[in-house]
Amino acid sequence: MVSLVISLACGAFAADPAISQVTVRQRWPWNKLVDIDYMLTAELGEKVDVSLQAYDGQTELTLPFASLTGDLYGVGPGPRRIVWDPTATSYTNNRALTQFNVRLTVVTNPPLYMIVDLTRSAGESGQIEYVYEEDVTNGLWGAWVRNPVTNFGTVVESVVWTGVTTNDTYKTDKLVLRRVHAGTFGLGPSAISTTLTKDFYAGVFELTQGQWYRIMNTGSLSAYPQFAVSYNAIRGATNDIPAVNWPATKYLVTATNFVGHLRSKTGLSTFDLPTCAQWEYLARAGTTSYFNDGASTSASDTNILNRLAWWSKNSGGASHVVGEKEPNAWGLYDTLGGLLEAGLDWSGGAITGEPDPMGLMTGIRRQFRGGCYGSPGTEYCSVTSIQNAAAPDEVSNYRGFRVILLLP
Amino acid sequence: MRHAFVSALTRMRKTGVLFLLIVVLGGAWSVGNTTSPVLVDTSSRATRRWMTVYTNDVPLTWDWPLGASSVTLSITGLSGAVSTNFSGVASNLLWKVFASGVSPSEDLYELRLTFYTNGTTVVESLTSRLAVVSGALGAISVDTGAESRTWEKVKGNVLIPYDACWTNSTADPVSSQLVIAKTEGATQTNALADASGYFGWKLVRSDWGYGTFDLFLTFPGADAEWDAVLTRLLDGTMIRLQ
Repeated sequence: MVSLVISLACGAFAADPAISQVTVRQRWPWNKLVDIDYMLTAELGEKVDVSLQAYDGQTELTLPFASLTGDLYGVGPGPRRIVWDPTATSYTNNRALTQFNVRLTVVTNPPLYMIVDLTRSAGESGQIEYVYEEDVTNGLWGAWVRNPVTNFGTVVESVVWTGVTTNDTYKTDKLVLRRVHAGTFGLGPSAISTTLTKDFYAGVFELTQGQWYRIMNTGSLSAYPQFAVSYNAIRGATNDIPAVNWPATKYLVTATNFVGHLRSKTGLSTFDLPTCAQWEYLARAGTTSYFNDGASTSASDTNILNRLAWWSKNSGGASHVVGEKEPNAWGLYDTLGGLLEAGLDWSGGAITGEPDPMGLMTGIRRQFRGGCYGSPGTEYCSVTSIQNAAAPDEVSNYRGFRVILLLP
Repeated sequence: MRHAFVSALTRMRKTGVLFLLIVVLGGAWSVGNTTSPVLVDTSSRATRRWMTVYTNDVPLTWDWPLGASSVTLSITGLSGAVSTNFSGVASNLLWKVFASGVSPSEDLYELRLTFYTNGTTVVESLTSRLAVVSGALGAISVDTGAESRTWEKVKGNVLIPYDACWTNSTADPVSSQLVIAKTEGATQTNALADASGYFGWKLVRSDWGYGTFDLFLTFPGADAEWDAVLTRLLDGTMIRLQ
């Protein structure tokens, strides 16, 4: 209590976010989870990431991403908790860590991008690489642009690494994801205020055939988007054992399907499809326009859509390599064209304004979002379009998907 | 700042936990009528944080209520108790929670500050619980094995954590209950006035003895229940007679 008073008193004058009062304790005798409690002092509304280093005595431990949940990303001030599951760390199984301790550090400039090397195994050196804004703007990663989008006169603050499109490695062997911060936006045609409470990373491209090949070992190393894959083939079916049925079974997926393989291959257990709300949030990227350019007001803005997306009038009736059109404000490509993108949700249901909407509990068809190279009209390619849905086992050359990595 | 303490005390009283007013020596009062904004946690689930000791030096400071001429500070832990009387102008004490240079053993202390008018009439009484938790002061032991042989063993006094935030229940419990039932022995039901904290289970020099204990933790208003089985062995050996 005294320490709390001290930190609060200091916090009134501190400019930089700080962590104090770190307590580590296993939930003995109830279970083996370990609570890592801390106090984050920061400006109201300020969000930071927290870096965790763990040790057994002086020996640093590598804690798998999947073993940590709680307040690690986009954390605001106040009492916070990270939960570590030591049983999820195979290398520590069946032994005790006698001198377990942690070091928490505030990360005020979280990575802008995360690159997962799909040719490497989980935990292998170099498997995961982070790209920071200052590295991008210092030119270390090639071409980039600042604030490429203005939303009806207001700058959408952003740095976009455009150089990601020039090297096919990032479209085949590697999976590049853009950090998307939690926030509130207008969801649906009526722009009902909706809050997403968790940060996540979103694939900058629709998943390509090359990336599918690296995960599933079928197909080819191509930079074209993966198509003709059913919703069930991506994450599992209701008649699988155990049944996979968003949102009833939440983030459970079938281990032998794509997302299951992606999780096991990368060691990142929170890969999934986006919910429709997450999809619309990442597609909008801070804009409120008809398309996600920040200026369009109706389906008649055909020239704008031509810059952003492959659709029937400019695609030649064929799919194209990802990343050839302009990105949105957050550097995400082909959101409104190319292929329709699978969302987690069942089709239908009302937008209520609830936070983190998950869609209907039951349904017949799964919702696909955005437009595709075969979309017959611009209205099929708007940010809010929900005109395409399909049975979970249905496949189509027009349908693909984009993955996200949820942050705990 | 002073107002914040009063608010905090009011909130704690509301949740059924009385906390001793502990103020940083030297104070943090600012000049003028208003203070800079500070973070005040009003969650009833954050008791564990409020009661955890983060340093060996705990400065205790108190204001004298009107009419009080002496005060008794009693500090009762799982292993013993001390009591100190103050009179006159004394209004603070730097409490050394554990000896310097040694690894602190986990303990739960109840601090009680009782003000008297003339040595017998109580003017006011304030209490606080402070927990010494190893993991707030240094490294701890973490059992990672799925089938650990030591997990269910208990030897001496222990702190048992409880926290409503462990559950995904939509309820918002403000209290907890811990039941300890000895096989073929006594059952103790502990109603805990908060939803998050530590329970100090005094085994040494208690009537519990040795044997197997079933523990049940519940949070009124939430449907989650936690249970555990612990065994206290005599001198670490068990002789089975047939």
